[in-house]
Amino acid sequence: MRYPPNQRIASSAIKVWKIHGLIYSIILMLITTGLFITAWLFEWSYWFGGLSLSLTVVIILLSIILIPPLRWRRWRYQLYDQEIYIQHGMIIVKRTLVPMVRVQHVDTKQGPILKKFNLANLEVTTAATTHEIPALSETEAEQLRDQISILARVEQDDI
Amino acid sequence: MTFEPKRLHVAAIIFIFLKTMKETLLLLFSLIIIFGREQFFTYLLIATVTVACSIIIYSWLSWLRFTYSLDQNELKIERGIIIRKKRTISKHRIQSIHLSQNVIHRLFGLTQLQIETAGSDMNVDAKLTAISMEEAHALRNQLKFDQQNQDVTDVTDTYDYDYILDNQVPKYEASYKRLFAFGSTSGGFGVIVSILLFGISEAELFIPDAIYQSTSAWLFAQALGTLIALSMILFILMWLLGVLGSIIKYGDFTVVRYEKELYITRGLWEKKQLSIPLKRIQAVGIKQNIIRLPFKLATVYLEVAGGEVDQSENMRTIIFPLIKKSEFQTFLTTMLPEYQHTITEIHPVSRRLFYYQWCLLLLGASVVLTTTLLFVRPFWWISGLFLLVGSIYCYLDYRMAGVHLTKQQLTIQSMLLLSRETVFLKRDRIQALELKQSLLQKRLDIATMRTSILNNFIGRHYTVSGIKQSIHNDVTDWYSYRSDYSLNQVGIDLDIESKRE
Repeated sequence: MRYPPNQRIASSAIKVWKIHGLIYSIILMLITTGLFITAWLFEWSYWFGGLSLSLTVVIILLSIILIPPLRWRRWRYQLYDQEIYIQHGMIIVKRTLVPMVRVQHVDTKQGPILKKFNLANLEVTTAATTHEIPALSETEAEQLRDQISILARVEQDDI
Repeated sequence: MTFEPKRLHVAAIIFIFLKTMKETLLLLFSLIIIFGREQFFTYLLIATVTVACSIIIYSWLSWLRFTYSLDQNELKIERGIIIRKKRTISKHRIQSIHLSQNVIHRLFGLTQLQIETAGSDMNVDAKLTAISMEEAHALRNQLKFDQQNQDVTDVTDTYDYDYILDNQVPKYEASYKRLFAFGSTSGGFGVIVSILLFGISEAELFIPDAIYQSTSAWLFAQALGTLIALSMILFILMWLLGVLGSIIKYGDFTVVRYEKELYITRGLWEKKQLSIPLKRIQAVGIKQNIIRLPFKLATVYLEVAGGEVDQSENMRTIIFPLIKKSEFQTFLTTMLPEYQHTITEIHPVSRRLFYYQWCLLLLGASVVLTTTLLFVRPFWWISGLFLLVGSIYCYLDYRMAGVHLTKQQLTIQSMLLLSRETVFLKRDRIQALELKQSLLQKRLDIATMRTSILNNFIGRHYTVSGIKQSIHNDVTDWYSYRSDYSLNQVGIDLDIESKRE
């Protein structure tokens, strides 16, 4: 784990995460408007609405503009014959090593937004942990999945 | 062996009754608390009697409709009063068989037999609540040693005490002195205190008002000295109860090492026997809580994969309740020579961890200080308290952490909920290895390492903070399989691309 892994995830991941952020922000904006309307109707204090508004602005800034590119920059993975090497995390960088002999199964997952961008998540499960590599291009995810499942076939000891 | 379907021993009715009773008791109690007034008394009585009667009938029916039979290769269980459930357990799937006897079992010379399989579904396992001892031993031998005519040297005897003595099988027993110390330092009596306090607050409902008032009036009239004495007595009583509890639970604790398994017997009230196949052991550890630490006492436990072996104590299996640290080396070499004793060689972690955490703490304390000064000025001292407690915690965290690496095993020591835990991990039992590092931590050359292993059916993670990058690199090199084998050698065709065409 001296060097970071060399493969990046698909760059359209940034767009996907931005859309996720947008959805959250829309929900927050609705709540904020709701608060302002109730405050106006029932003559409550506008404090709550104001607080909620500032919170929404901060979250929009973070989740749409700041975090997605940073997150993408950090996300890397590398596949060896014997192990999977993953790096992620923005402030705290996490590097994980999963030996092939420990892999129990691999899945690919795809939601509606990912499908729109022809992306898929790859999920690797061991007896104790689950690791996800998000937003790989569809073909790559499938290829990786097949490859890992072949590599994981190496004779396993008990658990 | 029998091919005929058999019923459990008749006493099983009692167990089913008690178990169902236990489950409905909460409901009954809440009914009593809600409707516990005099005018409802008759209705309540009728309801209770009806419930009890129906439970008796239910227990009898469940017993009547529960049968088991042993086939050449499998155990079949049929049960269910209206909806019949049939379960077949193949002999090859059986991981372990446990016997346990509580007081009622022993009264009739019976035992409970529990079968665990490798599946990840807890409900797959079978439980025969009450069968006779001979039947249980016969069943166990049939199920365990029938597969490929493994030499059947009357296996029943291997769990016999005389056999153990005759054959000098490695064995450890916990003395009552030890169990007494175990109970006194377990901190378990804190739980009893809270239960008792709850009981007192609830008792208010049942004790007649006059008595309650006169008692409380008397209590308030007493001098401070008497009150202190009273609470001391109460405290000692609690402590004794705690000791008694652990003696009942772990009394007659014996652990025996066979060639391929560890065999544990324990319990005064409910006798439990468990056998743990060595290949299911994921890690060995010792735990010292803050009270035991100064006395150099520790509990030895195992992390075991699959099956509910012992649900208590954080899903771990205790293989010795209390051991002196000086004795632990001998214990490990006799009982589990597969693991090395490396405690004396553990490297402490970098002191920078403490400075780093303390700086974070200082930051937190100043935030607390500003908020208290802004909003609740008289409470400014809270930040001081926060800083003090936090500093002690950080220091303990730093002092207790450590790692050690040998060719065969990784030893991790860290603090968890004010207990020091030292765990010995084998390379092929670690499911994944993770390094966590913030940018600042990278500058300081410290990192957090997290290893994941399997405990029962879920993952358990052992984390140690403040290790240097160089040590971490060593651990990674040790853990990485990259140099272990090449795939051509193992004989795997890697040409996936060409295969996909």
